[in-house]
Amino acid sequence: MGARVRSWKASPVAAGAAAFVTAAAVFAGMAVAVPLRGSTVLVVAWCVLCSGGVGVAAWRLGPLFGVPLALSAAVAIDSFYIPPYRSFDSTDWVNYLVTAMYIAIGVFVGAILETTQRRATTSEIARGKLADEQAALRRVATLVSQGATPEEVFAVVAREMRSLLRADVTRVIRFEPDGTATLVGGTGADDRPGPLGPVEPGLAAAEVLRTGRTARVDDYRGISSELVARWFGAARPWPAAVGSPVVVAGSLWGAIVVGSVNGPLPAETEIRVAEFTELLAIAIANASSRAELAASRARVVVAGDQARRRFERNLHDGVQQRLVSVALRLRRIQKRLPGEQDEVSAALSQTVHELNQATEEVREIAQGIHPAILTQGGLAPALRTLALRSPVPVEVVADSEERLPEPVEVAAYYVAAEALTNAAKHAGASRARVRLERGDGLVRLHVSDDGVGGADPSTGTGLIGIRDRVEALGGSLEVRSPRGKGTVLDVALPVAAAADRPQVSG
Amino acid sequence: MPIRCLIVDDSAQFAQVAAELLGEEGIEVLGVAAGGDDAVRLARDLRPDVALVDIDLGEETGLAVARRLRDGEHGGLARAVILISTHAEEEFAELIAASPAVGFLAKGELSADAIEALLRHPARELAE
Repeated sequence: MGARVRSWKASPVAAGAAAFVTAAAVFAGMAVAVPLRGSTVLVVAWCVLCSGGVGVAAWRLGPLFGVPLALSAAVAIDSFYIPPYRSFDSTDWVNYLVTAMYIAIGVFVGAILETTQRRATTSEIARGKLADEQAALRRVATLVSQGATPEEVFAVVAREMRSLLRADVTRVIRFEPDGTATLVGGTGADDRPGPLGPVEPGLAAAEVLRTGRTARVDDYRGISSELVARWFGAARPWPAAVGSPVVVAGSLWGAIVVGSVNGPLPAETEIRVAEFTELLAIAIANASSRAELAASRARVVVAGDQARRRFERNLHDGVQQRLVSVALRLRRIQKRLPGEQDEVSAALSQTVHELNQATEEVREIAQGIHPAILTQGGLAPALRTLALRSPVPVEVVADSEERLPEPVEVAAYYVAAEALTNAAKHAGASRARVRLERGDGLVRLHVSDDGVGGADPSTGTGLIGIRDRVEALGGSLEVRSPRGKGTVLDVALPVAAAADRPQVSG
Repeated sequence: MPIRCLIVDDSAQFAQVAAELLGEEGIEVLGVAAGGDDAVRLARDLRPDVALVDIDLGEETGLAVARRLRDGEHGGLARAVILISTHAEEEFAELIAASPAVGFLAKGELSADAIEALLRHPARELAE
């Protein structure tokens, strides 16, 4: 139907004339076939044939042909075949005029019907397009609200836009500070993310970059084929394209470029692309604020740990060394005392003893601030040492003695310490088990006990604290603690990610 | 014949007091090294009977230094290593046991008698 609508649209006058001539030919045929009217059977068959012909014309050619044909056939049958007959006197010009008038009215009515029908169809298509667009936007919006990664959103936006706009290629492009661009998503051609090189003048993206507005390039023939191939994959022949800016937090982040190999894209493309770019901008802004939040959370945790470690070091290198040195010095003095100074010697002994107690207290404090064995020996020895100190017997199984990034070791250590403390203090466990596994860029720590269970990770500062610590490093914590059936803690910490995190200096 | 001793400690204050104390108690303190490289160089020149190695040497761990002094050529640069620390022995029990040191002394307990006792009856052998 599309082709016929276009030809009708192309020349309504020609189409009307064709309908008029066809209807006149039918009327003339009826007039010529008048001798057949002697036989009733033939007349009935003739009427059926005419009705069928009119029906087919209306169906295949539309009301523009259907209405004048029906009118001329009805007038002819009524005049020539149904008594009282009226003959068509071919010498009287009035007969031609009246007949022409009938057919003209038919063409006129047919044209009106045709126009009405076409408008209805067009608006129905538009409604369908709108519904498709709404559905596509909704899918993207849902994805964005679910916190999908920008990469996922890029891919889905590229796919939805390509099918919605019937484009051949879609490109999601990020502008880099050095004037180049990076492909971050796309469909329709080679769409592996990667650098696209400088944003050369003439590309739709270059116009977007220059003006910050939507840009259209309907002919890429002025641009080198190598450049077009790089930006549009292997698309041939030269595409036409529409580029739309992606503005994140007030600054131009990148562009979506839609390309077509079959000539210019429809006029409404710009508006429709713009709706997607807005969603894309939201997704990017969301992801970047989430990433910033996660990074700042990790920095807070790491900074806290480093402060504790520094504090422990200062105690160790300063106060503890000095206390021990003073104790040794007092012992030297004591040794030098002449034999008769027993009272002084006893007092010195008492002082040394108290000094050693003070040293011990400081040592305990330092140990609580940051366990030295974690620094000296790593996670596995630290866990075994922790187990030795636990009032509940603990079995430690470590499948790796390898050193891990400090934030990971510290987090895992505190998780185990908290779990073992809970096992002894609250769960009344008779034994506990710690398992340390390494693999897939993850460290898994598994702590279980046979205590009373019923631990709720959402209450009690201990578990909340370790959850915060684990999640800040991008890890996960799972607590299973059915009442009466012990407690199991599963922690997974990403190792690579933690190692990549910026260390807080100082 | 006095015991010839090398002290490896990054706390100059403690090393000095320890050297004085041990000297008075009849141990010949050959020198003080602040880090692993110093310790290895001094031990190669002086061949001490015992090296007192602080477990926590700041950037280095004394456990690695102990291995460098005991492993390697000619059966070790020092005839024996004793680990010392302001930390308690149980904090590092596993690491001490795994090290080639003959034993551990808390810094506050340091004395010629304690060193001689450990050299006569190494904690490692007792443990085995």
